[in-house]
Amino acid sequence: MRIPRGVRRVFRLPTTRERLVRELDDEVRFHIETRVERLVARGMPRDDAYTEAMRRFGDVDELRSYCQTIEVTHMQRMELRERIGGLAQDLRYALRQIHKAPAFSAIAALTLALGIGATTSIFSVVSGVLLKPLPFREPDRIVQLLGQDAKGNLQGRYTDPTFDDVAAQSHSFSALAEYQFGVSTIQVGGEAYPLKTASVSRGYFDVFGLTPAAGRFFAPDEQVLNASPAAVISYDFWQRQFGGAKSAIGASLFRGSQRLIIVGVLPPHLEYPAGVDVLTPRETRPKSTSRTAYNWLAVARLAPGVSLPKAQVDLSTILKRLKATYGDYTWTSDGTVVPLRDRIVGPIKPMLLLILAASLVLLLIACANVANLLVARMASREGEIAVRLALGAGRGRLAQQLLAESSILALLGCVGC
Amino acid sequence: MPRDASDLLHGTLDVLVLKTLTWGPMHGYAIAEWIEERGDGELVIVDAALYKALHRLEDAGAIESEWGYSENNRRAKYYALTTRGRAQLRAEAATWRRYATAVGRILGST
Repeated sequence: MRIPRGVRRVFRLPTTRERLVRELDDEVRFHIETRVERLVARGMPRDDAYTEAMRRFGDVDELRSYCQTIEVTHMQRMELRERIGGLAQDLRYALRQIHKAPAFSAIAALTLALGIGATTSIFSVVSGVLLKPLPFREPDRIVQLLGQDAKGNLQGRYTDPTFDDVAAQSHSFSALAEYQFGVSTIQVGGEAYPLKTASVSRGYFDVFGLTPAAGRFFAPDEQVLNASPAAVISYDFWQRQFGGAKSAIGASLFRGSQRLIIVGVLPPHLEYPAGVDVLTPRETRPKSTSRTAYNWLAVARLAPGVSLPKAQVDLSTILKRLKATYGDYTWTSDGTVVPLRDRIVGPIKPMLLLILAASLVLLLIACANVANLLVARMASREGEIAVRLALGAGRGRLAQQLLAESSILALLGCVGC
Repeated sequence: MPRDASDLLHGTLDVLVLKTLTWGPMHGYAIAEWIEERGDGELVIVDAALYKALHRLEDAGAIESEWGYSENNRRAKYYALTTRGRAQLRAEAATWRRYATAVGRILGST
């Protein structure tokens, strides 16, 4: 009797290789014997007839392996189709379950959404602040110079004479700059705005490896005492105030009665200190001679081939020598060099990690809650599971179905956040 | 001189098998005999090739098989055309005729 397609599979009847070979052999034997009989009937001796029939049949072994290949790929195809069909069935069933218990599903999805949402938003902040490098060229070569004050605390402030000495005596930096920043009232086009401004010394743009988005940075004749004041503005301010027009170059800003001529624009998103809009040359104002007027921050770019520890030793040596020379005239007794990034994110790093951990705990709690909900619901579905097991569902198949349900809930949670 | 049908264009044997089965379910030997008779002995089929075609066509769903008993009351595997097989035959027969006509026209041109 011929078993219809699929029945053998449904009832897990053996479709072994032996059965295939046996059936093929039966088929071939019938063919050859029939031919032998026909040939004998026409008067051929039986031995000759058999030889002739075999000759005309051709390569039986090759036929056998050909049919086996067909069978194997057929089985693989069927298995795949069955698996996909089962998955589709599970997903449909899961959707029906969710539809049947909307309150439960909504609560589960919402719980997950809260957990996932909190974690992802915190993580995006953490990754932006802690993991991404600063957007400058070779950002790990940019360092901040620190000095040790009388109390032994490391802080970022330098005096003009100390900075100049360091600049003159150090060999670790390819560029070195001091700067300070604050908020000034800037008038432009008849309006006044409180803007973040910075005064930067020669080498500042080299430290950060910047090239102007428009115009140019400061020329040497703008970086001398009492030179006509020039200004470099941020890309953001350029867009906001001038709509990105080229005519901004050469336009005037007023700080009090002082007129600043815009000479260039910083590249987008690369302003430092963060949010600064107007940069002016430090050299137009006289330098202080006091070794206790800690008004400046110092940044530098490590020279090629110079490691951070080497630069640290270099700076420390110079500062100790200065302390020995000037004694009580300076409070800086030692100092070191730290990557700029660490200086920026350093203070908030533990806090951020703490918040991230907290949000992860929140996610775990959400998962635990949803798991509890599912367990509670399972209790009411014991009958259904029992029926499935009785009908021959394997453990794996059952797990697949329940996983499909949970996955859809999780997916709803993701969409929800 | 008789030609080995497996020498012919790829797929030719499949069409011949499908066409033969339009006369009703047959076992492999009957199919071979039928093709040889209708081909006036011009087409000789290597039996192994015929069975390859049969298993290939069955896998593609063009024919289906069933064990039955032959005229001399022996167990034999019978093949029958499916709906899909009929459709395949129609399509391939049309293609084949167009092809044969085209080749004939080229060979007949002076």
